[in-house]
Amino acid sequence: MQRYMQIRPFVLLTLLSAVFAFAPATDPEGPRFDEKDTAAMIKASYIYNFAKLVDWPDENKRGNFIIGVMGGSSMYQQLVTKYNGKTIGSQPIEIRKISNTQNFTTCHVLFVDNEFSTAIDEVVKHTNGTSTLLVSHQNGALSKGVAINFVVVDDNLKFELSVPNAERNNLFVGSTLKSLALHVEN
Amino acid sequence: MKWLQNILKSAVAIAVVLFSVAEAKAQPAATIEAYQAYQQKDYSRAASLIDAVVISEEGKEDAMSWHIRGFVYKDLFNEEKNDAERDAHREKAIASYKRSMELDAAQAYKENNLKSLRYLASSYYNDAVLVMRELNPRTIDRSEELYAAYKDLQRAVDPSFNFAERDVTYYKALATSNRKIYEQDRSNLKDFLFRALDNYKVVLEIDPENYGANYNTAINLYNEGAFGIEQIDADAQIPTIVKVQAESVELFREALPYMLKAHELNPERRETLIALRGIYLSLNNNEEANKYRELLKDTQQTNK
Repeated sequence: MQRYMQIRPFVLLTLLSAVFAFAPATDPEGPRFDEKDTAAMIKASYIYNFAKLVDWPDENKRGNFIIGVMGGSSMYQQLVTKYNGKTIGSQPIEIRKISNTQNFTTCHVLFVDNEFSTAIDEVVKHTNGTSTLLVSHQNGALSKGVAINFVVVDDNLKFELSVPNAERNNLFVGSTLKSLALHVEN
Repeated sequence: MKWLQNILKSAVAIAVVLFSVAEAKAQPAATIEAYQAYQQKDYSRAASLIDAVVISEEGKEDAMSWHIRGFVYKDLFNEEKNDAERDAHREKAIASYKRSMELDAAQAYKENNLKSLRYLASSYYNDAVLVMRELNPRTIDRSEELYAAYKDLQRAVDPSFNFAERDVTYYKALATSNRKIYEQDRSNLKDFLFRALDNYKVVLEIDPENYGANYNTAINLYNEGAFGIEQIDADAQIPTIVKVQAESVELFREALPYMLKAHELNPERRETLIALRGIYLSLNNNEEANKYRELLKDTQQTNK
């Protein structure tokens, strides 16, 4: 005889205590803002290329190739990090931080960042006729005597070039650099 | 010892009451046997017994038998370590509870069936989170599959359930996991950054005013643009500089509206002001960057 047992709806104590615990899927670790001075990085890369694509007189091709920076420490640091130890021709690159009281005619390239824009006239006066490639980031800089000036076009950094200003400082600008400039003054 | 015997008798009486039905209902003997094996935690045997019951003429239409089968496979699922076996047990448990509900005209087991199904739905969600946290690029897709399974079952149990809040929480967390996977190898796992951005888009479709999704989207885009510029080789020529800069500027531009939205949602938040200053500097817009620099100074003054 088949035995049957009457079983009530299956009441399990475990169910009564079954809390539908959801493991927290929160987002406490969102991305950290990794702020970088990208403008300084771009300018540094450009400046190295300017140094490679411009020709200096023979008497300036001895010793270290000096790149001077009148600007924030970020710009200086970018150049040091990337280019200290590299060469222009046979000349090891040396990066120098230049204050506006120092003798900057010893530089092969002197970059004057926009925060020193009020000093540009003084710098042009002191580097006129020397073999210093003057690079700046200031509106109207070419008309003040600067050879290469950074400009912003559609949020991008580009550069404009003055051949006469470069030649006044005994520098020869190669055709490659001219072809890559946004604007060339001849 | 008489007092102990009395206590034991009461316990038996309580157990009989607990397991007695309001209406008379005959169960297959094998169901009883399966239940006893279940109580003894011999789940494998319980499974064999109950599996035979639910395919028999006697048991295939019995809501109680399917109900017990649900519990047997639920506990097998809880004990199983192998992922594939776990999934199989869980699916059988779900199918059993559902079948029990279909056959349960008197709705005697409805409440417990639903509770069990909700529990199993939560197990899908928890598994989705665990997989997500493994940060494994080969298995991360499984997290979304599990999350979808959670939603399907939850919807079946509670058709009116609103998933908006849960979706926002889940997809923000998934975005973080995808981003972290990307950061394991930025050269070869870039697809995971795009997945993270897509995850935030899902959040913003549900909640366009979500501060975290707006802020994090902007940060991810900015960081990627900055990383691209940072990676410019020292010997890169001008055409390369121009190309990389252009690509990064596009990313900064894409980041900007999200960060502006985050700022609009929470104007006092310093992290947003810092980020806006940074984004504008990277867009070579010193005028706007200075505006946020001044706002930052103002917040510093306010906090003094």
